[in-house]
Amino acid sequence: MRPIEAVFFWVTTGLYVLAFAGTVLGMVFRRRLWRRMGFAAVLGGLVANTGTVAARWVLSGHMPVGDRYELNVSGAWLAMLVVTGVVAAVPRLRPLLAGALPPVILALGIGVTSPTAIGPLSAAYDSGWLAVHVVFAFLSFGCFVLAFSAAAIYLAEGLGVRVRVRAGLPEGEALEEISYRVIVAGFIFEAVMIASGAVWANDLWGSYWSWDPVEVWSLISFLVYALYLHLRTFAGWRGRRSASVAVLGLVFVFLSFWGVQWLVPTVHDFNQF
Amino acid sequence: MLRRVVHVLASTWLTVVVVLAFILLSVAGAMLPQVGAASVESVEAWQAAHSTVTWAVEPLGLFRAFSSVPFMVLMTALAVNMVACTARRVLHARKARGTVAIALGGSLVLHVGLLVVLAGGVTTAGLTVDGRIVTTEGQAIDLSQDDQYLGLNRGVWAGDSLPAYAVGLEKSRPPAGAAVGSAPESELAVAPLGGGETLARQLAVNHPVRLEGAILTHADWGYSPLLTVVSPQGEVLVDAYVALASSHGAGTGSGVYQDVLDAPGLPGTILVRLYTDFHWDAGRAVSASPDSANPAVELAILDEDGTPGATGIAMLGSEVGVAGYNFVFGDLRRWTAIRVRSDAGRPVVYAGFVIGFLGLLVRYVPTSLAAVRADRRRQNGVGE
Repeated sequence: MRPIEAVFFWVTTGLYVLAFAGTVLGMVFRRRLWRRMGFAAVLGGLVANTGTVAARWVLSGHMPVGDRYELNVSGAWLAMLVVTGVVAAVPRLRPLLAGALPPVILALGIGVTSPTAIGPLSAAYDSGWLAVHVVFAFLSFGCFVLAFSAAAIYLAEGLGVRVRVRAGLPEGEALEEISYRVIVAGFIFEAVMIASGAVWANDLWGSYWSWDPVEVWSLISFLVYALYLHLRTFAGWRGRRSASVAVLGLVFVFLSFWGVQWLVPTVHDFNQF
Repeated sequence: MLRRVVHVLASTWLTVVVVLAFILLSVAGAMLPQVGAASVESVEAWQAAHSTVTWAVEPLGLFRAFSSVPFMVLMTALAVNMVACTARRVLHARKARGTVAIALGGSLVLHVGLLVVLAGGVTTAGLTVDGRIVTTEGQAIDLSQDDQYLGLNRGVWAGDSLPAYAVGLEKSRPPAGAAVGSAPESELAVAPLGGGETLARQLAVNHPVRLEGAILTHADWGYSPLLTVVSPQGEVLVDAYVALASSHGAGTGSGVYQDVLDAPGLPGTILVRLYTDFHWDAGRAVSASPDSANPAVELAILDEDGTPGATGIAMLGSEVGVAGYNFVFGDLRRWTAIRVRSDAGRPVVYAGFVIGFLGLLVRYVPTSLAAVRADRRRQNGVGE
């Protein structure tokens, strides 16, 4: 990582951590000012995150998705575009940053603990489908972390943690309804991610589907959200049951994006080309 | 009775049970080594190391999870469930009006799309011909002959037909400006066997060559030194290009490639190690770069436990004597492995993706927009 990138990266991470702290403390101590500062820090963090991505792009000469560090930094940026866009459009939802930021900060942590040296873009990434696949993957991640946050706060309310009213979030099942709406968007984005990945795989390996562990886990996370939608729409699951599935869904997303590559060998290790 | 059966087949709970079972099977399939994706030896080694797990899961076919009987049963159940649900939606959609009708219509299209994807998957499984060829620069391969392939797999309904083309590898070089050691681009000469013009095609990672009914993708690459081995009695034992293991097979990524050579009359198994840019470094042979600037071949006779014995090094165009045998390193070429795959299911699956995606949009976008508009009306006090 070059110095300019390091500056942008650590400013990004610092501002996201500050935003998380400001949002949580503002909710706990009912300080609207702290929550506002938290939102300002998110905006600053997103600007710095944009700088991190742009600096890497300029320095490497390619779209920054060529290794684990680049994927996580770009992924965090795309996810935060979704999260920030939603909470900026609907100010009442700003407290959702409390649940949405930790997974994004975790992604940045995974990125910075991976090798960060700039290398040439693998030939496997020389595809027009790359941008579609990666962009939609992390847009869906942004939706799912937001859904996770809404569902987790809803569940915390049920356990007696009185944060929603203090934070000014929507009441009752309206909060869970928000989780549903962003899951719908994430589900559509994830479908595009899987389909574009299949077309790309066909050009790369000659086969649109290989039952590779990363492919299978992506399908599993997609199916978990498909189940969520079915249960909610047709089986009448609302409230706690539905929110529990939304929280569980992010676990599967994390496993498919980050977990499975550590656990089993996969052809999604593009350093081989 | 019939109505009851249809009710069960179209039920959401059947969907939930089947999808949950499929998720469980997929988790097992993603975590356990799969025959086909991994070598049989590595799967057997894993099974030996995890005998208790193997005892429990092997009868279920979970080492071939995605072609196992439980997988087939689940896919069939899912297809039947989707057909029944789709039929039920058709009936409901006729009575619905407004946004509900749009959502039902979208759901219907979405499920039709999923069924088309499933049908494409079945077509792929049944009709695909999938093989791998390895060709060295200057060599041509007849794709219509079974014996030209390494590991040719045919679907159960695929028949005997293979692409009626001969493919020659003219040249294989990294693209201009690419980092040293990058995967090469291969210039192919593709000749229809029935006669006709020979076509020049460029094959590279991510840039397949499409023939009529088949797709050729770059699978692997490496080096083939031309070795001539002459016995102490003057008999030529080997005179061939020896394809060394690939860049990510046994290559180190730093310009060292190796493999073993076995042939009748040789004094044992010979370890052949290629240094693409040979140099001595503190008495050790190394490759200074992955570029083929100064190639040399190291030849070592392995004893019974695989330990290198007598060793010699030959530069390109020279010879070396090892244990009385003469080894000539006459030429160096590259080889390219090409995956050749005919898959009639692919366009069906892609059509399913498009239909399903349209269905997703119609199912969810109008209802989501309507909900957002309703929220706004509530916030503005219009709908109170």
